[in-house]
Formats: sequence, C-alpha cells, structure tokens
Amino acid sequence: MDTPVERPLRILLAKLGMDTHTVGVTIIAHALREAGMEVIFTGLKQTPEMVAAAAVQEDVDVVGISTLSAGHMRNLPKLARLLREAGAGDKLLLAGGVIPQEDKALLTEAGVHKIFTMGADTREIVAYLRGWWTERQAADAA
Amino acid sequence: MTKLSGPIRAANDNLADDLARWEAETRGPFLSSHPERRDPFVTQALGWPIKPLYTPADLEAVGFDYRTDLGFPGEYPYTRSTKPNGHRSQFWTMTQVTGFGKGQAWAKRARYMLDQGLSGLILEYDLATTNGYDSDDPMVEGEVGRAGMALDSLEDLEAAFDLPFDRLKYLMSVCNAPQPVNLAMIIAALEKKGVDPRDFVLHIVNGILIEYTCVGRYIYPPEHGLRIAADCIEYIIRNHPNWAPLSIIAAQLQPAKANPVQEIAFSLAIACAYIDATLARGLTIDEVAPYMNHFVVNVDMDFFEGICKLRAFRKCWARLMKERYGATSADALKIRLMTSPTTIALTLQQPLNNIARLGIMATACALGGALKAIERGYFQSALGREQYERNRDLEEGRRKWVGVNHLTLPEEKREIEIFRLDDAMEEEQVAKVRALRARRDQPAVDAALDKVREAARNGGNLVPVCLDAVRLYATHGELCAAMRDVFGTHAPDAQLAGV
Amino acid sequence: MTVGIASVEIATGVIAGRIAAGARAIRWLDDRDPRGAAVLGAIYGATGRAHIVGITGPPGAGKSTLSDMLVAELRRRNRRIGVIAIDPSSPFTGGAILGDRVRMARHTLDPHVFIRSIGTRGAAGGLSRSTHDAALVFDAMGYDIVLIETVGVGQDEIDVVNLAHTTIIVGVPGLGDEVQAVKAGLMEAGEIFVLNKADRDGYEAAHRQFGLMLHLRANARPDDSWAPPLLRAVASRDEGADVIADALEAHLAHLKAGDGFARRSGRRACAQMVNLVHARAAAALLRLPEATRLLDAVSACEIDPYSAAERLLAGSRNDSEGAA
Repeated sequence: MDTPVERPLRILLAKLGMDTHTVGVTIIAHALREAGMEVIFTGLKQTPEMVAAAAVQEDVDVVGISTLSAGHMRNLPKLARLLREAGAGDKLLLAGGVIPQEDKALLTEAGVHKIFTMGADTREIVAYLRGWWTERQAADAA
Repeated sequence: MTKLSGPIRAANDNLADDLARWEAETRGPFLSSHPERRDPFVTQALGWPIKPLYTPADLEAVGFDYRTDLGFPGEYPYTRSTKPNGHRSQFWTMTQVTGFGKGQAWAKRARYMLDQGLSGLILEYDLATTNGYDSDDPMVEGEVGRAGMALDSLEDLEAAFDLPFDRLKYLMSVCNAPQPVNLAMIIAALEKKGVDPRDFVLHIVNGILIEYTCVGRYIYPPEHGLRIAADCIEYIIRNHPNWAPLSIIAAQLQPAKANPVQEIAFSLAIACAYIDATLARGLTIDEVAPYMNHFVVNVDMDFFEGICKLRAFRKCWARLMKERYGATSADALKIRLMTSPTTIALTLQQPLNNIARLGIMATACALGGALKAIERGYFQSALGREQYERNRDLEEGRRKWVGVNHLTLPEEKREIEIFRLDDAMEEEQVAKVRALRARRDQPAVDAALDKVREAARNGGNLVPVCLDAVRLYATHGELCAAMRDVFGTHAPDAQLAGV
Repeated sequence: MTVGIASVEIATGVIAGRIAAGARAIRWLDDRDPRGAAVLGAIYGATGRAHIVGITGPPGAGKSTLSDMLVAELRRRNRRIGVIAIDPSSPFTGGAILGDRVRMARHTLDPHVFIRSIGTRGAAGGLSRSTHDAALVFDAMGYDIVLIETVGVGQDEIDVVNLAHTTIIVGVPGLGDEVQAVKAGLMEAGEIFVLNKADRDGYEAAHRQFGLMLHLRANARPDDSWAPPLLRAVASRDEGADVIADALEAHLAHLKAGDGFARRSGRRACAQMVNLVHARAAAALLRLPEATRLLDAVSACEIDPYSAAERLLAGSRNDSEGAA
C-alpha cells in the first residue's frame, strides 16, 4: 500500500441531559481542534441512547460528555452500559462538568474512564488524550 | 459641588506640567530600580490599560462635564443612581433563589426563608420544566427536581404555595420558554389560595431572548419565542398592572464571557426587541417602558469595572428611552437594576473562599448601585471567541483563580456538605403525574389543548387559553407540546458557540 | 497487522447492513488504513444500487436543515438513508469541529438512518477525500439513498456532481448569492434547484434570476432531456420537502429510463480510479532517490520544475523498460 496510515483521533462531544450551558464544551472543542483532533458535536439535550448511537455511527475513539445538571449519577452509568451493549465498550468515556469529588469512585466503577472537573486545564486534557491515543495505537499495531 | 469646582479648575492649569515633572523626577528614577511587576497593567474584563496615576487632568483631556456626563443621583441620566439618596433612606431589596424536589419541599424551604425575614422569593424550576417536559418524559430521566422544583401540573404549585401569603409579597419565577404556561399555572394557583393579585407582585422573568443568545433553554423558533413573551407582557400590563412581566437578563451574558461592553450592548438590543414587539400591541412607550426596565446584572471579581458597568447601564438606558423612543415619564427613563454576584467566579474547590469572593462582588454591586442578530447567530459567535480567549488567559496564568490555577490543594477534603436530592423523589413525581392523567376529565383537557393550538396558529393571546387548560389540570408538558405542534422547535445554526 | 481476517469480518458485516461494521469500514477508508481497501474490494460486488444524492450550495444556504427535512420526508416514504455530512478540516492543525449532526439529531435513534460526519482532511472541492468510499460502504449496506452534504462551496468547488446521480443545488435569497451562483458555474451543474429560506425578503428577485439562468442553460443544451426544476423551501419550517423528494424520484426514474444511472455510476468509478492512479503514481515517483535529487535542484533554482518533472518521468520509464 502506497499511502500512509493517518489516524487523527476522533472524539464525540455531547451534552447529556437538559442543561444547556455550552461554555465548557465550546472551549474543549476549540482546544481539541487546535490539537489536530476531529471533534464531532451532537448538539444539546442528548439522552444516553442518542449518544451511544452517534458514537457507533461515527466510529469515534473517545466519547466526551459535558454535564452540569446533576443528573450524572444516573445518565453516565447508563451511557457506559449502552456503549458496552453496542459493542463499543473499547471507546474511552470521559466526563466533565460539575461532578463532586466523592462521586468519582462510583462513576469510575460504572465505566467512566476519566473525569475532568471544573477548572481542568485544556492542555492537560489534550496531553491525556494524546498519551492514551499513542498507547491505543501501539496496542492495535501489536 | 459648585464650590469645589473652583479650586480644582485652578489646579488643572499647570497640572499637566507638574505631572511631567513628577514622572521625570520622582516616578522615573524609582522605576529604574523598581520595575513594574506586570507589563502592562490592564483591566480584568476589557483589558484596557491602567495608568499608574489619574488626576483631574485626565477628565479635562476627555472634555468631562459633571452635569451632562455624570449628573446628580435621582436625575437624568441617572448615572450615579436612580434614587436621590443612595442607600441612606432604604436598603436594597434582598432576595434568594430557591428550588428543588417536589412542591412540598419548596414550600418548606420557602417558609424557612420567610421566617428568616425575607419578603420576596425566587422560584426556580428543574430543567425538565424549563425545557417544556413532564417528569415522566424519557428525555428528562435523572434530572427531575435536581436544578429546581419539578412542575407538572397545577397540583404541584398548590403544594408549593402552602405558604403564609400575608408575609410573601413578591415572587419571581423563572420559566422562559414555556412562559404562558407558567404564568397561567401561577395565576390559577393564586386563585386557589384566594390571594388578591393586587396585594402581591408576581415577577416573571420571561427572558426567552437571552436563552437564544447564550443560555439555550429555548423550545420554539425565535420569532415565536418573542411572540409568546409579548403575549405574557401584554396580558400582565392589561390585567395585572402591578406585576412585572419581564427581566432583561444581562447576568447570563457575563458568565457566557461577554465583556462589559458586549453585555450592555447585547442586553439593550434585546430590550429593544421586547419593546418593539410590545409597542406593536398598541401601547405607548411611556406605558411600556416602566415594565421593560428591569435588568438583572451580574458583577464579577473585576471590581471597578463592575461598578462602572452598573453606572453605564443606567445612563445608556435613560438615553435610549429618551433619544430612540421619545419617552418622557421619569418611570420610563429609570432603569431598575437587580444585581447579583456571579456564580461563575465561585469554585467547587476550596468553597469557603467563595464567601470572600461574594463579599467583594456584592460590595461592587452596592457601590455601583435584538432579534435578527439572534436568528443569524451573531451574539453566539461573538461570545464563542471571547470564551476561548478568556480561558487561555486563565490557563496561561495571566488571571489567577485560587483553587483552580493558583494555590491549589491536591486531594483536598471539602469542608462543606453537598445537598443531595433523594433518588426516590423522581419516581414519586413520575407516579404522581401519571395518576393525575388517569383521573382527570380527559375529553375536556383535549379540547382545551386544541384551543391552545388554535390560538397559537391564529395569533390570539396564549395566556387565557393556557389558563383554561391549566384549571382542568392539563400538564405543563402537554401544553408545551401543543405549542410545539404549531411552532416547531428551534434548531440554531450554531449550538456550539463560535463555530 | 491481520489485514485479512479483520477485513473479511468487517466486509461481511457491511453487506449484512450492520452499522458498527459500516462505521469501522468508513473509518479505515478515511484513515487510509490498508484494511479499508481490502473491505472495499470485498464489498464492491454489492454496490451499484443506491441512489446517490448530493446537496451543495454556498455557506449559509441551510444545507443541514434542508438535509434534515429531506431525511424526514424520505423516511415517511419508507426509504433507508445514509447521510455523509462533510465539514472542513483545519488546514493548519488537521483538526475539525464537525457539527452537522446537530441539526439532524431527531434521526439519531432511527435504525434506518445512518449519519456520518467526515472532515475534508485536505481535500478541496467540497468533499472529503473518502466521500466516494463512504458512499460505496453505505451502498453495500443496502441504504436506498446516500445523501452527501458538502462543505459550503464557492466558485467552482462542485466535485459532488461527479459523484452523485442527482445533485441538489441550494440557493438562498438576500445574501447577494444570486449573482455568485450565476458566476459560480453552480447553475451549470445540478439537476434540482432549491431556493431555501423562501420566506425571506428578496425571494422573488432570486427566483427570477435562477429561472433566467435555467432558461439560458436549457437553450444552450437542446439535447438535454431533463429539465431541472426550481423548487421553493423553508427548511426551518419543514416546508418543501415533499416536492424535493418528488423531484428526486422523478430524476431517478429519468436516469433509469435510459442508461443514465449506470453511466453515472461508471463515470464515478472511472474518476475514482484516475484519482487513485494520480495519487499512487505521484507518491511512487516521488519516493525515487532521483526525485529527492531533482527536488533539491529545483529548490536551489538550478533547474526549472518543468525540465525536472520531465527528467523524473523519463527516468522512471527507462527503469520500467529495463525491468521488463
């Protein structure tokens, strides 16, 4: 094969639930685009079912959820379960927004791989994603 | 003041020369051994350069005239205050936001707050309600009663209004997109409680245009959103003239990272859209303006800019009413400012620091005492750019935020408890609305919902038809859906601001 | 890398219409992963059935909203639809924000609608470099219609007409685009013309201009057996979808009445082969040691680019003759 493999990381960004605050997700989307990633935005007011369906159709590597409406203890575990059921359990599931420290353990156990809360530095998020992506591609190649 | 102006004027004559001398002889040499710790010093919100020293010469340089540019408190253009005696005669009115869980929970909390001496309350609904869904809609699973009180039907407000109305004189209610439904629910609930509407002020925020601009809790396309808002405004002006039908929520622009200039400009443009829509109902500017002059403004940690912003708001409003609309009554020219410290400056980390932040912002509050553009995404895209730029300032350390990028504590233990809603509440609320639907007079409800669709189609005022339906226990979600059938839903060009 | 087994598994899934398999195949093709070409080879026999429809027009014409409305209408007609929504990638970072799904969110849970967002990744002309391939995957999956929504196009970036059986050109009144469209050569391309946002001021003027251009086009092509309709839509209010869907069906029938459908599919395949040969041959030539030397010489202005290219091609011809 003559042409090289080029794999920019693809990430689905979604707002789960009824909260419509887009400042955080806007900043993240711009930062990830500047880092050379392909960001697919689903829009607002998504249910876990809609996010899981979009993640499969778009064959993204990462699903990033923004949630500020306190429904996270219910809708994030549900999304993790739906992704597993759709055979997409290998996708990295990230969450950000207003998520208290003490909820993190339960969410991690439910299948959320990493949580970035208020004040997280976008450069830290980019570095985390790049590191994960390098490892994932190395594992795929092996 | 006249006495003082004499000596100041005289001092100005050679002040510029003295200033040059001071710079050369005193400040200059000092700077050579003590360079400034920041280059340049700029204001926090606008990034305007800050000089090391201001003197009357600066005012003279811009042609400042005390009478026309500032004026006296209580007189046009009201820059310093709309009241002639500041806060020396009366304190400002203090209110607090509250709302969570079921109606009963709200009533309990409201009674507690009345017992603490408040006379006004702000009722917040959950996101299911403000987005126009009932609690049993699959779209809102997990969010019922979380960010505010759950409202499905008149039953819920009957429970919430189990209050001593002899002590509750002012209620503000926030429910922008479904406003006629909410207004009808409250009117019907007050009727049930036997409250005389003349002896009580209901203030509906009715701020749908700000939802399209930056908040996002819209349902219908903007032209219908504005029509719905105007229906409510007209209904209140004509039926309950002592109530307040609108707030212009500049406060939402500020956490969306509008700078103070954008905040004033965008919110006045929004006010003009409401005013024009209401004037089209056959009212005059002097009748309308006193209902349109209520602005909710946030003040952030940028202390002096916050104070200046409030002063600029008063002056801009007075001039807008006088020069653009030809208003003449004093009530039309005076803006009413409701200020609040911004929650966006507060942090989940090290929460006790928030007390100091709130103190600074509240002090600034006390001292400081447009439709086409929305459809085309102008505001949204302008805000998107600001959001990204301001975030970079924070990340690159040009702005310090304790607990976030400065003096952070790894693995900190939070000193305060978080309020958590009992998960059973949602199931109970869902069961309650389903039981209601099963026992009410369904054919009557269906007919009332048809009347709402008909009014939506033919342009009749939506409030009276919603009121009829609410009295029959049509639910909030059903009424919002009936309007959705006619108006459709809003799909903006840019849901991700700035894209 | 186990190209073989993985590709067979995905190809089988594509032909069985499984969404996850189709999604993965498109990803491989977009990433130029060798497994993608293997899948394409395996599924090619199952292609050739779908009606491929392009939607193009200037930025701000409301293409996404129109696509959303059209998908809803086609679903009412019981068609299964694959949507390829293309947004620009940043030429500097390669990153992209793909936001077309937002306006099609109501179809997310419909099992008969598959929406895929694709970044241009350096391709010009309003398409992404993998649009052809993604359309073939949707075709093999059994979707009746593949809807391709291009990037907002300017003057002559209308590659979609080479790919689609039917191209819908979307115009809009009031942006001064009437004149733009005339200049752009857009009017020479499509088969269906839609004036969206028809409730806006300037609709009549835009309609007159479009009508005139279509009249001139008909005069210039006396042999053209298809007369492009000029339709009216207000996509934000779901108005006009039925007539657009009718026109799509009429054009499909028109193509199938003659040999138009097969001819366009053949033309597309040929164009794709030519593109591939261009890309591969250029890449192969530029990997030769001689290429590096010549590029250095061109860079140092020691030789002109024409002579250098000629010399590189001559050298490679000699090599291949020598090898034979």
